[in-house]
Amino acid sequence: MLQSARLTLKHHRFEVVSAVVAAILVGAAALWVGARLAELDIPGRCYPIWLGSVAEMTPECSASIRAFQEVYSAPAGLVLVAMGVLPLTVGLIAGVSVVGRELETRTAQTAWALAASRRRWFARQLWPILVVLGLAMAFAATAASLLVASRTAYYFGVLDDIGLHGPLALARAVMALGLGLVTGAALGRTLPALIVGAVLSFVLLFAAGTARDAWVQAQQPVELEYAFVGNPMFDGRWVEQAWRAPDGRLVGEAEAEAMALVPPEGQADPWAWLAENDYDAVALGIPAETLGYWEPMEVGATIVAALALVLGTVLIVDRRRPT
Amino acid sequence: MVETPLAAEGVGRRYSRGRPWAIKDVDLAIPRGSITALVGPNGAGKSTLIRSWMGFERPDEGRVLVQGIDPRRDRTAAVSRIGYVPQAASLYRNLTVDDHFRFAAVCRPAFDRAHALDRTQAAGIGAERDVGELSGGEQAQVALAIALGTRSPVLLLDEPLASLDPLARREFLAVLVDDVRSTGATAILSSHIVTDVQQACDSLVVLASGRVALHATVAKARAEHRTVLEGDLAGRPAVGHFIGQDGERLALLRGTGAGFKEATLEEIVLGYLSAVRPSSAAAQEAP
Repeated sequence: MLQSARLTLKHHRFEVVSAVVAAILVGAAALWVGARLAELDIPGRCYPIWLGSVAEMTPECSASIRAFQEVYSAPAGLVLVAMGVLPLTVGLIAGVSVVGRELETRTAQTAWALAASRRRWFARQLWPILVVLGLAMAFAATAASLLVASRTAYYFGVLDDIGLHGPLALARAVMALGLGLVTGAALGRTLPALIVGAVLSFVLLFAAGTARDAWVQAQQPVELEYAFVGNPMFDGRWVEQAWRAPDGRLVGEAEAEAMALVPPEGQADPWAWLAENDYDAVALGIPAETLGYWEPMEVGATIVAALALVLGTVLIVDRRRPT
Repeated sequence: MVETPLAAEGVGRRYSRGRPWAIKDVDLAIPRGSITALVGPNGAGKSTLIRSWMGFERPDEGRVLVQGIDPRRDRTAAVSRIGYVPQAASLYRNLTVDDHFRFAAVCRPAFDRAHALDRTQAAGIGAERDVGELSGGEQAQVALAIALGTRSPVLLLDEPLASLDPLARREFLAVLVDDVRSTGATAILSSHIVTDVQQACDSLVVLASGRVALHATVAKARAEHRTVLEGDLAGRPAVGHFIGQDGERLALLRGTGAGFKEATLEEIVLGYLSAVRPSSAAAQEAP
């Protein structure tokens, strides 16, 4: 088994080494930027200033916030952009090479003539690449998660950086690997398979984004709580402004507007009428806890899609004519 | 009952509807221990037939058998009985010669790596050399060593000599003959030039336009065919007509007519191939 793995990795060394180097570079960059953000320990009293709920800026807060934002915007942003591309690139390139390049270079004839079982040949080709790629991507995805944790310490953006770190980034790399496998096996040419695989990747990512938005919209908005005292951000995703009536009933924006715009005579600020009549402004939205359910579901769906693609590749490999 | 190593029963293969058949009505039974030359022009269907035995092609009609096993029904069993050398040596350019043998041993536990190494060493090819650095002839020797190392009872060689120089061809065939004779394997060697393979073969299959035009032992084929100048035909039915080496117009006769020259293998093949060429047929019918 190890002999087989050694030969597979040697044969695919360009793809494997490129993937590992890219993942290590991006992961190391994520750790470095994350560490720099963590070092810039912004005093707690500066959060409200930073987030705009308190007007006075002190020199101390100004300096630390500026330092944080310098790292937060460019270096951290670049690392996360790289993390958006890395799983797809690494997965596709490695996946296409496993079957597609064998067909293109005609080595599939030799391999399939020697390996009586093409399924076993495919499994022997796949697992070492999957393991090495998985470990490399797991490092990068974990490092990116640490970066995101440092970057979003002061607000709760549960779905904001989704797919750029953590298990979903890893799952996307596996799905891209599956896409590379199936397009390579079907087309038997490396470059066309890469192009088709890239297009399909973006289609699948778009579909996942659309499904995510639809799922969020399908959730029942509830009254959101503040993330923590002194932080004007809400613990979840804001959907609309509402008011709680004195009788405890929630009044939506449209209804409240209708009431406020027909205030008693002499009322200067129609919205003030609501406050004066004990209507408390509240934020309606999807709590972070509910939003947190999405990522495991998307990870699961992505893994299922990847497995389906691998199975599809097995079927193609089993039936295909080697060129 | 001893199974025929390789058989084809009414085999037809067409790559798509509307296109001509690549092979059609092919019936063959290759005798055990023979080295058969599968000869025909480009596009005659040689590779299609060999690839059908390999399970790389699925016949649309009839069936092929490898030691009685239909690759369509049990490809694993059929392929495990075959050592195969593809048309162009399809090796991994970034692996060494020995890596190939190790890979073969992973795929086929019975692979005889020592035998394969002996073969390449005898050809002066170092085991640690990258295949990408080898010449075409050396790559062909490595591909042959892999096929021979499988110790398979059946060897299929799909135009392995096409890209080799004359010296490399002779070396390749010498290794093949030596091994086949010592192991008793059955080999099919395809080529579009019969002179390439005649030194090695004891049996001949001429494939023309996807059909078997002739299947006989080399000895029988030579004994049963004569060539004659077209002008001396005197109304005898000819198998086919072709241009001789000196530019003379010759006809191939089936039979043992006294006074006629025994046909060479090349002349036999040319005669049968000319018979199925439309231009040749027209030429024969012309006054």
